[in-house]
Amino acid sequence: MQGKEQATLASREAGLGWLGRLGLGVIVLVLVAGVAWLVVRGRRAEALWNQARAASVREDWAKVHESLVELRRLQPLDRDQNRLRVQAALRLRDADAALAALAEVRPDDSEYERALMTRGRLLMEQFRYREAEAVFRRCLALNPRLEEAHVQLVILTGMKRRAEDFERQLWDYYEKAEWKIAALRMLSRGIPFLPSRTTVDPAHDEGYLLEQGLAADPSDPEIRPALARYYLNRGEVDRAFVLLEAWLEMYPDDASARLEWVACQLELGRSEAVGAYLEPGTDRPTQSARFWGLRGEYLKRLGDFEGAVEAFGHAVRLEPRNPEWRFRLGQALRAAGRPTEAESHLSWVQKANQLVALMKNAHDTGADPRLLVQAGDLCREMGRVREARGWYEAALKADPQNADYQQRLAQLSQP
Amino acid sequence: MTRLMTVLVALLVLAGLLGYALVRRAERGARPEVRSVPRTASRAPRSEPTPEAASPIRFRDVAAGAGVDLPPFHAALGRFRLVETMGSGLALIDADGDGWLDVVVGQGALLPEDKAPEPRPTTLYRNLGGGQFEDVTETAGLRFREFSQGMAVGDYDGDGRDDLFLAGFGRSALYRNLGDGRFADVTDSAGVAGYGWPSSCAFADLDGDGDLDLYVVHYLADTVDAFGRATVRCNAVEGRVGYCPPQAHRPEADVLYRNNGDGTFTDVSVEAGLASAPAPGLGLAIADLDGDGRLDVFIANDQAPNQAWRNLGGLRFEDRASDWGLALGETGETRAGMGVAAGDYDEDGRLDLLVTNFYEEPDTLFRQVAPGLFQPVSAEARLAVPSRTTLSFGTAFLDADSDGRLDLFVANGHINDVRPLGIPYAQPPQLFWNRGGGRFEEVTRASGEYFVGSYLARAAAVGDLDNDGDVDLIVNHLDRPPAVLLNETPRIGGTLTLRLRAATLSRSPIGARVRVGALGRTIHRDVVAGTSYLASHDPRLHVGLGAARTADWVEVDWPSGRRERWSELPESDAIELVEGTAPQAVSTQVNR
Repeated sequence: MQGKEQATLASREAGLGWLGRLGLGVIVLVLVAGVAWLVVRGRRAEALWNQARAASVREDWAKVHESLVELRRLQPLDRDQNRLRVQAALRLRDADAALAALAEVRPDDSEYERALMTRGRLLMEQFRYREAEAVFRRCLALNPRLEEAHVQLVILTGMKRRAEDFERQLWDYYEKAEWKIAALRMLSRGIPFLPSRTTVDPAHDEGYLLEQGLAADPSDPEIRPALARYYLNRGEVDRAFVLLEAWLEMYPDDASARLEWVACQLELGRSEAVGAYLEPGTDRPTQSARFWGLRGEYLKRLGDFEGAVEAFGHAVRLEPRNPEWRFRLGQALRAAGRPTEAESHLSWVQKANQLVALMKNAHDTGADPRLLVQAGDLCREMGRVREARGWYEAALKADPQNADYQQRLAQLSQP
Repeated sequence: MTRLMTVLVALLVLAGLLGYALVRRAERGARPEVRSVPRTASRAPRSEPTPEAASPIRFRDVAAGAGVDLPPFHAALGRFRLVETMGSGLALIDADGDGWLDVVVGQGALLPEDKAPEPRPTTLYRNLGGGQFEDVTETAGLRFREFSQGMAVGDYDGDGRDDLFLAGFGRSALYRNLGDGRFADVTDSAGVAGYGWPSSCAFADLDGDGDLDLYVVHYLADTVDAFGRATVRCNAVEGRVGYCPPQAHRPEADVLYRNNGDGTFTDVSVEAGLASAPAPGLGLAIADLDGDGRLDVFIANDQAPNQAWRNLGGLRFEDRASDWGLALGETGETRAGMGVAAGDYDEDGRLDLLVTNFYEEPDTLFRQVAPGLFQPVSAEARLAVPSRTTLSFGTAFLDADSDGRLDLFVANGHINDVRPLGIPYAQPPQLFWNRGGGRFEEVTRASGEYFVGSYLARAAAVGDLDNDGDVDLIVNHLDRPPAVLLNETPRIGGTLTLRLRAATLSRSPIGARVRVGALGRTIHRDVVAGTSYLASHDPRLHVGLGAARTADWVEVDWPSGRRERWSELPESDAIELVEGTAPQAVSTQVNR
């Protein structure tokens, strides 16, 4: 009686009535269940990882992928597991899965840089140019000497006709590249263009790449103007109009698109349609060489050659390496009765064309140093001193003892 | 304690719920958004052609029934020598002096070690009138078995009969017209066999001594070796061999032969300044481009700046193409120049030039704004857009509807089969109607059945083949016999055909500038040598008078510098103007 009373007293004192006992039981049950679940889950995860690794040995990448997807549902993948996930997705050519996996590679992973480059390449293959550009810039922030990242950015800025960025990118590439002639060759054109090396099928032309880019990222504001210009160059002005006018209805202030629309009108001989837009004003893209170039062409057609000279002069100042503006300026100066001033610009254009012709006969590797020096001479005569220096240095690399090349380089430094 | 237990239970339940939520989230993971982009063809397909303006211009191809049936042969035997794809020449010449234009149709030839039957050679078709022609090659003594290129017609020996120079790949030939439709091969004695790869050519009095000198444009060197093999192999598209671009070879310098006046010629290319400036030349026009009274030479070069050889006198020349604005296209880039058309399309009294170019390059219309100053105006003339979608060769300004304004014909066809890239191989010709104000409208598809087809067209020549006063066309192809396009455009007014004869030994009027007045309007025409591509045209000038039935006056600036004007004109739609004499009617029966 006393023990029972003592127990009852104890339980009363301990507050453990039937509810408490129930609660305690539930806690124990949950703990036990939890531990059991963790154990089972852990074993399942281990089994899946082993399955994945075994499948990778057999190169059964579908099985690898399936195992890792299920493993990921159970727990976050560690570094090795994610790497295998990336590998499986790449082997299966599942770009979306590979991109997702690559996005989860951590910055402290030793393979991070490589993962970023792979991501960039895949994004290019998916025509997701804006994302690709961001990725390649991150690559270069990590490692400025990544040649392929430089080339890809050259391709992207060239395809989108971003003249200033294109040139800047090429010089970046030039500074960091081991073999500098490739960058110099691209610089020799003087204008942004799509270099032939791409990670996508080189049989696909620029129009295809731009069209796919537009489909993949319809809100990229740079693709439409570039694509319109491509259509214009192919004589498909109607197609360019359809592309631009639909966009301009939604975004009437998109200057780049509007300029291409103007270019189409001028190409069709419809000068009267664009006069109002080509008047300089605060809402006009007066920092755009293309604006001034189109204005110059418009004024030339009206017979206002002095006005055309002024406009083309602006274009040349904004894009001094673009032969088209210099040529048009030279033509306008001639028409305005100023042949002496025209001569310097037209002579520059002649040299620019000679340089381009020289490049058509050159190769990226094993270049004849005499050809490199010729290129340097042309650049020097055009006032493109930095390029000239590059060419002479390349020639000296091929023929270090050549006193003539040394002298040419030295003369560049003289005032 | 009870409170403690309650709290513990609550915490456990919360932990359980939280854990469940975390597990579920882990299971969802970062599911990638499906954004696969469907792959389409490697090159964006072209849009449908723009509707054309309605025009009265009509041409009818009568070749098949006319007997001009030379099946083309260009040695395309799978060895991919560039000459195979560049075509052969055409010439219009009154070989027998009967007042009817006969036709020389160029033909390719076997190259060394080619295994194929001997093809029919370059053929002379005598014009029988009534749209009928007869092969008289053998009886004429024209035995030209070389790979035909350009052709030049002119009376080099001043005997009153037009002679014939046939440029050939490797060797050319000069045929002296003996009269009665017979020719003698005088190549060796004349010293004009030449070498290498000549393209367009023309006779013209370049030194002003009264006889006709010979200018032969040259293209590329060493494209074929001694065994007939292409010296360079190129791909048209990846994995498929094709014809090489001109940069794969060295250019050849043009050749200028000075007429010695005794039936012989001397190669004066070095003294002339031509030998030091080789370029891949294809098109040729000889005219006074700077108004100084001397004939200059314009060359359309393929992927090199065009050349404009200013005649300094004494058969010396300097290239002024850059100064004159003729070297490059509108954007300052070199273009692939093929053929040349010359004429005053904008009726301002100055000769303009058009150069046909490659696919996705607009043909370049050079408007002469002042003597020796040209501006590219293709877009303003509304030629830029339609000419980007063709690869163009032979071309000519011609007044197709006889309204007094020069319309434009262009022969098209690619050089390589790159259809996997979405670029057409055979291409339609183009006809552009001059609407005045310096603008053209394309009217191709309504101009006749020939214009609806697609071809590998090359040389094109213009002339009045049926002597009815309007201009007809003849076009040579790689893939079919020539087209003989008779002009059947209804006319509202009259026409005037002018045959000019200068007071020189050769009587060549090349360089003459003609003005015709009708109903208060002045129509300008120039006598230009060469033009088109590998072709030689009717030497007569054809002037459509628009609504006027007859011309009121004619004025000629002769190459000698003399100006003559006649208001009293014979009552005829064909007149011969001989320098220093009164105009004479020329009677030619339309149907014989």
